[in-house]
Amino acid sequence: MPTLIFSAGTIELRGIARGDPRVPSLFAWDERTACFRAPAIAYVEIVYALRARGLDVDDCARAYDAIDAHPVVRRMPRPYQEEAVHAWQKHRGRGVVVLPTGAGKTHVAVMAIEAKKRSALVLAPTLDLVRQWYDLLRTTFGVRVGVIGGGDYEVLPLTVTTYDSAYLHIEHLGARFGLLVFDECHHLPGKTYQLAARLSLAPYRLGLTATLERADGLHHELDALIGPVVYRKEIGELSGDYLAEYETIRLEVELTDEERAEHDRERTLYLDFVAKNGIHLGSPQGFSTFIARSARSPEGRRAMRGYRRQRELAFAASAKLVYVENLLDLHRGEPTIIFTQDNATAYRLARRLFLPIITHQTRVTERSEILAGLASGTYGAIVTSKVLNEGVDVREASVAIVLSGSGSVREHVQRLGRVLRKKDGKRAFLYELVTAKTAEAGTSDRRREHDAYR
Amino acid sequence: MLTADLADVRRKNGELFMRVLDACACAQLIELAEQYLAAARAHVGYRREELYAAWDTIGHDAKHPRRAAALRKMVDDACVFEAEGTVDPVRIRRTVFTLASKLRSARDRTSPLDRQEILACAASELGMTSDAVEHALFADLRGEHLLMAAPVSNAESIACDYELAQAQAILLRAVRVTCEVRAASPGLFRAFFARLKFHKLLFSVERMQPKGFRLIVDGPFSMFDSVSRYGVRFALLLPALCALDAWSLTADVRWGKSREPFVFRLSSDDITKHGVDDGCSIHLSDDVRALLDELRAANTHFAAEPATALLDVPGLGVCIPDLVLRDERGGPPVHVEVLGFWSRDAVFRRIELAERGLGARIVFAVCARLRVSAELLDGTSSSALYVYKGKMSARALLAHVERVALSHGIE
Repeated sequence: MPTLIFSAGTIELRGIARGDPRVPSLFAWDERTACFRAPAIAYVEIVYALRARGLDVDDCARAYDAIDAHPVVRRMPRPYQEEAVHAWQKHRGRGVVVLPTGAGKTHVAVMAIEAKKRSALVLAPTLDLVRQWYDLLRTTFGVRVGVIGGGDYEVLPLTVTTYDSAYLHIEHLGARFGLLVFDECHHLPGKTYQLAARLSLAPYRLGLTATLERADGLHHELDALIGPVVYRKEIGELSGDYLAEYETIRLEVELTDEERAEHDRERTLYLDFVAKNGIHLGSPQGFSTFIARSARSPEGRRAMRGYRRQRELAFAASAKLVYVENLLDLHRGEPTIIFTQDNATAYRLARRLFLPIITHQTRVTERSEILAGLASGTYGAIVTSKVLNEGVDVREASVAIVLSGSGSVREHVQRLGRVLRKKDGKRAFLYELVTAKTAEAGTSDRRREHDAYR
Repeated sequence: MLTADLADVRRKNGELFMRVLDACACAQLIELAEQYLAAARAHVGYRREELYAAWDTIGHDAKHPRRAAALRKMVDDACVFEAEGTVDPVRIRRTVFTLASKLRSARDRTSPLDRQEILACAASELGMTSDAVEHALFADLRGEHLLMAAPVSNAESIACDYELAQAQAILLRAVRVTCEVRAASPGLFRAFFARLKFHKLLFSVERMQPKGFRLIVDGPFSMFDSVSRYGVRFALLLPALCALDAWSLTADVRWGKSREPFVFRLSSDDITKHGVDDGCSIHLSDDVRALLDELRAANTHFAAEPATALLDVPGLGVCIPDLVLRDERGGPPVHVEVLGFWSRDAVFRRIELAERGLGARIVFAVCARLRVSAELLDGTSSSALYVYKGKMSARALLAHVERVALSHGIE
């Protein structure tokens, strides 16, 4: 009997002659191994096509199990969570759910796992989120949960991993899960990460995100990798009822005289080089051209250093660091997260104000301890660069201070999302500290182009 | 290994070229490597950040910044860094930050946070001085690690490895590699194929005239999309390819931010071969060499020599014989592959290959410890299993060779 075999992210059909008309067109003949081969993501279509053609096969490809997924802790779903799962089920268990941060996307995933009862792999972008999913699945289902990433490698029917680890291991894990949950799924369409979806045969796929759209337009690829958007709600639709009321405040600070002099000198150096080389920074390729040209001469390399220094001065103006102290005083007793664009500024602030810090260099155990400390009130504030931008659930946090950031709308919305989880009487604040008369003002304008800031 | 952005290439007509270093550039490269090494040697016991600051100065002054960055990475990879082992920074941070948080919420809003007070309190709790607490606060960060040992290799050997490292950096972005290999010794060839299998790469092989093979190497998913997923494996394969006698490769590469398609060509003439023995006979294992000596000393009309052939059954696999025995009276040669006692599975794969038709006469020498019977290959007349106990015997092998040589056809 012909056999289906999962092989390194592909499906092999063996034991059937080349040219056999019953073989679905999803397969191509592979001369290298003398068998038919198809991408693993086509598994469901393959099974349907083989059935339709009456071709009996021994399915050795599928290596996932049905699981007894009964939550031991049952939470009443909110109406929109039920609607989301219902819409996903209607699309044969393949699709993307878009909900604002703090709206309870993870609960949608828990309901999906319970509904499908198949071994499930949850993919998340950071180790913090992996830790959070691990805790949630373990306590919700009362079972052991596997972790792949951050030095752990344990594969169980419910497993959590990072996108990076999934990319590395999916060639041999791709047959072991019937359901894939892509948390913050806007990361998936990247050239490498998307292989985590394409090399897996999982028939059921759920994508979760608050910020679906990508500047490069690649979010359209999610249709093929996961499924279409099956349900969507925006911040405005849930604010007040299901999310905390919030306020966003932009504050401008001035550079000191010394900082201003250095900033202007370095910026002039950089802009003179740009002008001399006829580079139009406003064009889509403008900055890439600057990078390429700057590498070609000592003058260019000096201009690049000038660009970096003026940016650094704007991002970490000493007035910002002083003002942060004022804000911490103003919101004393309200758990606060301070965001920076770069690690150097985050460490500078942590050293200066003795604030706990979480960056990519912070180990998982210390991260957990710091987040627990923020939730319990041991720490009044913590500082981070980008690793807490997404998904991390600190229900108690009510103040976000953006000391510096990129022009990305997605990043800014995600940072706001960290303080939006509903709690009795909670009012959230997002402060943005911007250095006046520097390029940072324009960056701030760009990242605020979202309904959440209007 | 270098990252792709450190590859010093130029693009022309759809091809990527590694920049060729003339004698003057080589001398500059050695000089630059020496500067990086000297800075490393001078910074043993210092923090990584301090060494990097010293290296930054060298990089800023370099005529070829990318080349300098690549050399720096190679020297960096060869350095040994370690975190200071006598302090526990996590405990120190926990103590300092908890104290700071308490003092911040207790103080008068008009008075600034007293850093010295916090450090002094923490120091007394931890049994350290205030300075030591502040110094050790982030001692576990990468930038704070101490340089324990500078590289032992000299500037010449680092510069010598540079071109191989450059080629590997380019291959990281390869989606498919076509190799042409000529007149390779069987031992080296076997090592190359073992490396292909180890990295789970797929390949198709075709013969080239007069002697040689053409391999198209990629991965299972390459049939459906050009992915650079297998790039690291191609890069790791390159040293095994370099160990072969003569070779060339053509790689389809997706280069730059936009992953534009380019072709990259490389051959044994482009890479300086160093640290690799390329003599044919020395790659025979001890038991095969002993067998060869015994066969040469035997009174027989078969002349024995190391084999250079590769026998391939498309879709099933490749067999690389160790020896070839030529009948001085004429007739086709008989190959011998020694499978020893490592893998029973390998024996069954060879049997399958032989039954499907290897296109040559062959005797497989298998140790009796693998518990296989010589009768397993009775179905084919052009191949045989020689099962030996302990040590191979030239006389017993020749009996099998004689029978196979006299067979009429080849399956």
